[in-house]
Amino acid sequence: MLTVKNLTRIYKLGNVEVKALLDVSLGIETGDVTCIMGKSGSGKSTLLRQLGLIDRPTSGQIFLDGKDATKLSDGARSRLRLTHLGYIFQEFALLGELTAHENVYLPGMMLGGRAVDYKNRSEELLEIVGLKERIHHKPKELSGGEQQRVAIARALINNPRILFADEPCANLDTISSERVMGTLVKLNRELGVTIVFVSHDPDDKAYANKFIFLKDGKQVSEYI
Amino acid sequence: MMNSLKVATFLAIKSIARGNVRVLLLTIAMLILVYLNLVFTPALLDGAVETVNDKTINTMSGDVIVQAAGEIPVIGNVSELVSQIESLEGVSAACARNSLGADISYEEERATTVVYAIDPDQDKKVFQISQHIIEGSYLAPEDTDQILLGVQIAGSDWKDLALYSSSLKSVHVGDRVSVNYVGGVQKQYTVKGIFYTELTQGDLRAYITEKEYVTMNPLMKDKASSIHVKTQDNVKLESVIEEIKGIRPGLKFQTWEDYEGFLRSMTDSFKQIIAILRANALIVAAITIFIVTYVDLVNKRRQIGIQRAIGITGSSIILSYIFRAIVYAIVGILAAALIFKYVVVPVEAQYPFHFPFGDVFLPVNVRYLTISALILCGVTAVSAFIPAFRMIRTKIIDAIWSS
Repeated sequence: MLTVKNLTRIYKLGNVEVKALLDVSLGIETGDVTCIMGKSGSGKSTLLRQLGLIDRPTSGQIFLDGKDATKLSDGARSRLRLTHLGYIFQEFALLGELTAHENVYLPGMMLGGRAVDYKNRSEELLEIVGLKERIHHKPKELSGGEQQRVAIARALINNPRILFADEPCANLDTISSERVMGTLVKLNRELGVTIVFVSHDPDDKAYANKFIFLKDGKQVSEYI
Repeated sequence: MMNSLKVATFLAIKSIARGNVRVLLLTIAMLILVYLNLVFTPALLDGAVETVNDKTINTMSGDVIVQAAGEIPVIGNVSELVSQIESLEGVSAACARNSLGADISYEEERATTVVYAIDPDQDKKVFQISQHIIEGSYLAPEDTDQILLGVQIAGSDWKDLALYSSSLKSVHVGDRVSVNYVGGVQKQYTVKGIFYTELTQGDLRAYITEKEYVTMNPLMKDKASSIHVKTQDNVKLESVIEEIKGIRPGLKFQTWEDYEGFLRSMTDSFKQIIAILRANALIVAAITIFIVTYVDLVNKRRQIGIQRAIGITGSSIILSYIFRAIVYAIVGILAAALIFKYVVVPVEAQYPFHFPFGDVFLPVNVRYLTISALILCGVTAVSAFIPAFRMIRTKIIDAIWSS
């Protein structure tokens, strides 16, 4: 489903080159729950942004259903993110001027279709993530855990084939974290959504069936 | 494309409705000032041009001036020609005048002027001199020993007058003045009235009756040096001229614009100043909107990055900023137009600006207000587009994580 070959990402900070990812190759199959693990600065988020088509690699290829996504235009990648991929940010990343309901159905509106359909779908998803009573609240009126669950619902509005989550519990307390991770696992089991998430917490291994370990931008065989 | 428009409209509405109210009010307030700036000074100068033109037409030239084209600058059978001209479609009235160069003296003072011989009743149909009498009264057709003086000739002890020093300084109604016509004829007249049109050139004239003129020069009966034609509103002067040519060939014509002479250079300068002020106001508007949009975009850099990351197209985001800017512009323009029409114009009419050629009133030119509004909306759209377009070109990761 998703194949990565020799992915390298080098950032330039002034005259200094930061090698965030070096020659990473991996494969993700439909239905997998993949956990990208590593310590802070190991390149986890960088890898996830490459896989989620939010950033472009310095070199290497990303094949989505056999098609090289690195060669696509910005517009085509944007379309692919809208139709095939869902992305959950570490910092919730909701739009402050929109309610939870509006945040969730906005990508559905962008995709098209009848308003009643994407609005109903948004309500369903918010109910699934346990926020049925909070759909008309703005992000600032929600707790961190609630905001992250709204972000999950938003990522699911267009029925993505792969859901990427960048340390979705990094800013949450233990109870909220368990609820968010539980929601992701439930989505995988009940809806068959492929999930790729980033974590530095060894306890999160329990939620995944496949692991990618990174250290200093390089793929390693185990979490060290 | 429809989806982009839909999302852009949705984002613009939510941003306007739920964005920072103080920023919203400040932006609209700035647009109100920008629009008022765009229309006020040009309107004032338009008003000045209009005043000069109206005064010229109503006190000096009429809409069309007809003169003899041959060596002898006199039109014969004038009463018949005036009647024929008045019967033409689009003509309100016509009158004949004879002009004579003269020196006027009073006590030790002397002034040079042009004396116009007129039929007071007929002249009143074309000109408004009778409405500008500040002392005494207007001429009557039977007056023979009387003269009407412009205030710049009489002086009238009005030391603030522009040309007081070269006037007769202290002439008032009832005073006797001596007039030496070019050609040697000398006459004494009693001043019957003094007029003040506020147009300096018009106030340098003197008027006697046609009857008095014919008494001096019987050969000039039913002859005139010029005929002045007043047309109805929105009549093409060229077509009136063509019709008069058909009645009597061999005449030459001037429109009031041709007649304005050096006043024309003043109104032309005003028009150039108006164009510069308009361009300046539009540049100020563009920079204002650009700054407002740019600051807003910088503050929302991360939000825009998130929108793009979740698949919202760049065109939707740019359009949302353009829509929002246009809404701000429309609200600002409507508010400013209402303020202009119902506050600025009435207040200015109550306390008009006084120019050397008269009080200037602000005209409410709907066509210009509309054009200005459309131009401002266009400028606003472009000013919102440029920073939004630049922001969209930023990498998503820079937009989200570098701020």
